Amino acid sequence: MTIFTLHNARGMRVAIDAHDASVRAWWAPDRYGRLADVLGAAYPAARAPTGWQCAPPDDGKLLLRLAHDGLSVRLAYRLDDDGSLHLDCAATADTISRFALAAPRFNLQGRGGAVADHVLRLAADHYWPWPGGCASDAPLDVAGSAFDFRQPAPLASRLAWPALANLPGFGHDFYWTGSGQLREVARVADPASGRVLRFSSSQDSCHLSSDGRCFSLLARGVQLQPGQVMRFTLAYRLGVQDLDAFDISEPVSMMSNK
Amino acid sequence: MKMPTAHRIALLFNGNKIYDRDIIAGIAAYLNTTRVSWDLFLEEDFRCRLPGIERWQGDGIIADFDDPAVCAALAHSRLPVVAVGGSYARAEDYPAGIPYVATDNFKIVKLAYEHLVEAGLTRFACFSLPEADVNRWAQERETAFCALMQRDHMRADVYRGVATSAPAWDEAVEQQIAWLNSLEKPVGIIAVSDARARQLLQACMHAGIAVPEQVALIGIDNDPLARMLTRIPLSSVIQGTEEMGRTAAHLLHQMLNGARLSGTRILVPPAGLNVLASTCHQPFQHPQVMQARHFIRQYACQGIKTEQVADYVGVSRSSLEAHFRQELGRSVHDEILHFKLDAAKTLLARGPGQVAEVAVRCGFTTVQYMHAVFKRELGCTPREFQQRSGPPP
Repeated sequence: MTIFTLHNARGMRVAIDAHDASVRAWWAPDRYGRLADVLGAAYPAARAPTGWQCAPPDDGKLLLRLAHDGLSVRLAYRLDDDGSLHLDCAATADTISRFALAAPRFNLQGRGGAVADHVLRLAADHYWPWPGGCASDAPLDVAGSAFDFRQPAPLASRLAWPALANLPGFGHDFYWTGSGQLREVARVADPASGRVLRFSSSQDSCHLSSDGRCFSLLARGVQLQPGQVMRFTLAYRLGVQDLDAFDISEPVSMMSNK
Repeated sequence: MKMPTAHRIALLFNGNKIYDRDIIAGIAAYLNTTRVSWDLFLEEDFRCRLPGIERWQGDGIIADFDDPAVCAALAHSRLPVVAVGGSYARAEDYPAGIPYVATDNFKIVKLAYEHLVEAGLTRFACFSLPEADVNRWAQERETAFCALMQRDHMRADVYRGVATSAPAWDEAVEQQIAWLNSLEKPVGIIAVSDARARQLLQACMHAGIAVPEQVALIGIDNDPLARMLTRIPLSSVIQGTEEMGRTAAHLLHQMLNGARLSGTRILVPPAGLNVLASTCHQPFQHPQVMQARHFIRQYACQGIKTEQVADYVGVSRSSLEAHFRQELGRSVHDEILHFKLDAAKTLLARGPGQVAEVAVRCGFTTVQYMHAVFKRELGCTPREFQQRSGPPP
């Protein structure tokens, strides 16, 4: 197993496993400035391909390449001083191929507590109500449902809404109107540690999954047609809530990518 | 096409507090996103008036069940009712047969307590309210505090004080000061509300007790009014009030569509923590440095000088300087400047004020001097700082 580590000027460290291109550890400060690993156990990455080629990081950047069964993927990780981890992905295929990245599973408390009280804000206006896929014409409008996170809401108290009372966690696809540009679409805040994760994507959908101990936000798996080139960019940015003016009701900036 | 008839819904809250107003805002937000049309009934001054509610020809009620009069009036309502209120440690304290959306009192107090622990405090106390039917939530927060103290094998020091009324104000403050003096310092105090925290902060000022060095204080509600009325910015737990309103509206919406939810109980955890100066505790400070910083924090923006700080502490200027160098690695003057700079940054970031006015309000003798300080400390002019931190055009 080969682990490469990216650093930034603020003392953050991100460990990436070159075997499956997954993020294994992310050491980030809490509101009191103390570092802790905010990633939970590695996701059982069923569809995430393994066998990546990788050179040691250069200038805060890590390049990974994958070529197998006619699928060719180029993936770049970059850790910035503002606490954001960028993922640039480009994939092509000779034959019809499916491909997904391994999802980093976060616990912003950083000491193995629960994510039940993490507060999520997500700019999606539609969602797919049946985890795992089921016949349906189109995604449903989030309005009036427990899946409406356009205003911030704690994960576990949403799971207690009547329609969901038997679900142990989320495992749902969410959709918004995308423009192809990278923009912030989700924010997760942990009131206890003060850590905030901002998730930006150039795509028009994501998959939210959660259980008691972890949550993840990731691009959905993509299907490539022969000759097609697929590019997307994601960014996870870890910071802390503004100590002077913490206001969870301030609208998430959906347009600018500050 | 026939328009569906709008449901007639009564909101029984006392909308004079930030807590109730945010719950009503959450209900409104739910209605706006869903395009559910409800005819909302509220009194002209947003206060709750119960007489005749049992004869009201409506379709549903969302009500503040922290008010015992509301519980009694709605106990046998034939309309669908959703209760909103504080959580209880004992299941039998919830109203029977009515869906209930609660602010999680235990998690609120736990968040405040853990913050004080992280800030370096090792002794804790709780400033509550005299026991009364109308503030059972205060007793629940007290109970949560005691449970946490017991869990961590610490003594639970709870003070309820007296109910305040104009003739007894002075007496109440004297008793609060006596309690504060009886506590071993430094101590972290959780007040059951911001209004209560503000009173205790005032008592600390009267008694010359340094906040946060000797008493670190945190309230609950994140009430902007309480913050405005204190000279030392007050840390506070932010309740999940808007989400409580959205949840209550969703439950009533489901009930109007025929769902039976009588056993439903949803606890909403706190949404966050607003950490300000009242809990920025730094343990192990020299007592004279502590006193001096307490004075600087209150009066930096009124243009004080090192001499006045030394006078307040009652030591010579040179020995105070020596203590500052040793403890903080900077001079008293630097410390004053630091506070003025922070205040100026906050004001400039807040909006499009005049730079000259900010300079005056923050105790800079001239605009040019503030300009020079910004250039040296931040590498930009006050105007550039304002543009950089303001909202995008």
